[in-house]
Amino acid sequence: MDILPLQAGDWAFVGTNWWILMQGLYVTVLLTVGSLLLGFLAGFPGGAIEVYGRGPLRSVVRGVGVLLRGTPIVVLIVLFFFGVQWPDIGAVPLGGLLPLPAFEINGQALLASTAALGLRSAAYQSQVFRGAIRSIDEGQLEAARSVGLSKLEAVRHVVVPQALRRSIPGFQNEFTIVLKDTSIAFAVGLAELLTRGFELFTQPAGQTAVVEIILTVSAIYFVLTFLTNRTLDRVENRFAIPTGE
Amino acid sequence: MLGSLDDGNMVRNDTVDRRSYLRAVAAGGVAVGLAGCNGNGNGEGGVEVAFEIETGEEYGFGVREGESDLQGALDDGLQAARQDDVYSDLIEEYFGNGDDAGDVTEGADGGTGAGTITPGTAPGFAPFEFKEGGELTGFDVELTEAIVARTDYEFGGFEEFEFDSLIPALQDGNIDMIAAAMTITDDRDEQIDFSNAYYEANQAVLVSSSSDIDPSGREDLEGRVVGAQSGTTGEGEVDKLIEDGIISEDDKRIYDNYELAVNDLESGNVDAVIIDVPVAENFAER
Repeated sequence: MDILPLQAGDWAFVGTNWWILMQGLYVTVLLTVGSLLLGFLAGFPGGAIEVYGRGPLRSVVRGVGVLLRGTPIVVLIVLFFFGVQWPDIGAVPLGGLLPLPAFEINGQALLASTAALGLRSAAYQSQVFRGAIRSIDEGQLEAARSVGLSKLEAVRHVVVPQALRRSIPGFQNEFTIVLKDTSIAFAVGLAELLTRGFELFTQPAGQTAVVEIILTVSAIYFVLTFLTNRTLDRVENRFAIPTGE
Repeated sequence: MLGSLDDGNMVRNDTVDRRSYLRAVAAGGVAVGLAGCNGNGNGEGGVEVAFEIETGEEYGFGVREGESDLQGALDDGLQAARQDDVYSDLIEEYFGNGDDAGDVTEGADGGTGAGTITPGTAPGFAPFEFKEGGELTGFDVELTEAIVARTDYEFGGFEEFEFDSLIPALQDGNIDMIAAAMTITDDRDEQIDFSNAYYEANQAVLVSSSSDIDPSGREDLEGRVVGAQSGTTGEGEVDKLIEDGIISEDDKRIYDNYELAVNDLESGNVDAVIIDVPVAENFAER
């Protein structure tokens, strides 16, 4: 067994091209935030409808959720990109803030990737919220009704505030999954972090730096995931439902 | 999603799930590197071309079926680029002495009245198309610019895709032409139309310089593990080896990118890799 022969010259190559990885990181963060936001905006009502909804609306939400959860994300992204006629918004300029040089990404690829990752995330987040809502004792709803709140008010003021707090651990999981799955946007040519790493080691000067580049990209994903999980841990503790102890 | 990590370099036949495959390969590569097994593809020992396979393969630009105007314009533009010596300058730049061909649109007399064309390519295939300092460049990229400047079309800038996504992107109208070292084959010709060939490339069999394997013909590959990039002519040659009974199906390794294939060759996980001659020479020289 040899010791891992990582080479100083290859690390220097990563060093001089760090800004290319940072441009990729920019797109990765943008895609993660956009997808999670879309996932929350669609997933939270989705979860509520699955619990309180009636009739065809609930059936539709359930059906769509099952479809989205049951399809591999790469298939979804390719389908959304090639199967949906997105408005041609052209190239989206990004960066330009020092020290990050300005660059452009394919707008349609960004829309398709955000939609695919966001809706898939909505399907998962709806289950996180459904579980969190279900975890609030039915008796609380009855108690709220007995003091004169309407059903909507009871859900809005009694159940939701507690359910949101209880959904943080599940949401944390979902965040990590979406962050890492943004790398699949590579399939439609969106220049996110992994694509940028790929760009680096397929150019003649970087051909010996494959492992160094992949290790760097892995480290960036790890740092992002670690920091966000720690932050969400704090948020969870800060907003934990008081136990009265 | 990740498939199975333990057989990360296995054959994968579907064309859609490329990303997860790359992740498996990458994760496998990192695992191998961290485990400290021999080599990690840092060029130790290097690789060399053992022999070439005459395939008579030719690269052409792809256009949508029935777009004969564009097809004809590209043929004429290629002819003009050859006459203006831009073609030979680019050959020198990317496969010869490396001298910069300069401004490839210089001396071009094309117009812009016929509309804009957006070419598509799959970067990561040096010296044909790759990114350098964030900019797309390479033989195909510059040649395309040179040719379009010599037609009545306006150059609309490149879109980037994975190689296997190029034909769907063309058919779907995301791009108007493909310039991606794409070999003209009967299968592809049924889906899209091709311009005249702009490059002829045979396949090279790459082996590790430090290994004791020194094949001089296809038969010498008997029982060896052979790799190639997914969807390329090299993969077709590996399939032919299987058809001819020279290697077994289990000994075929397909990679998302030839770079990963050569990396695995240097690590000793495959015995030979089949890729285009100019690309192979690029590796043998480094």
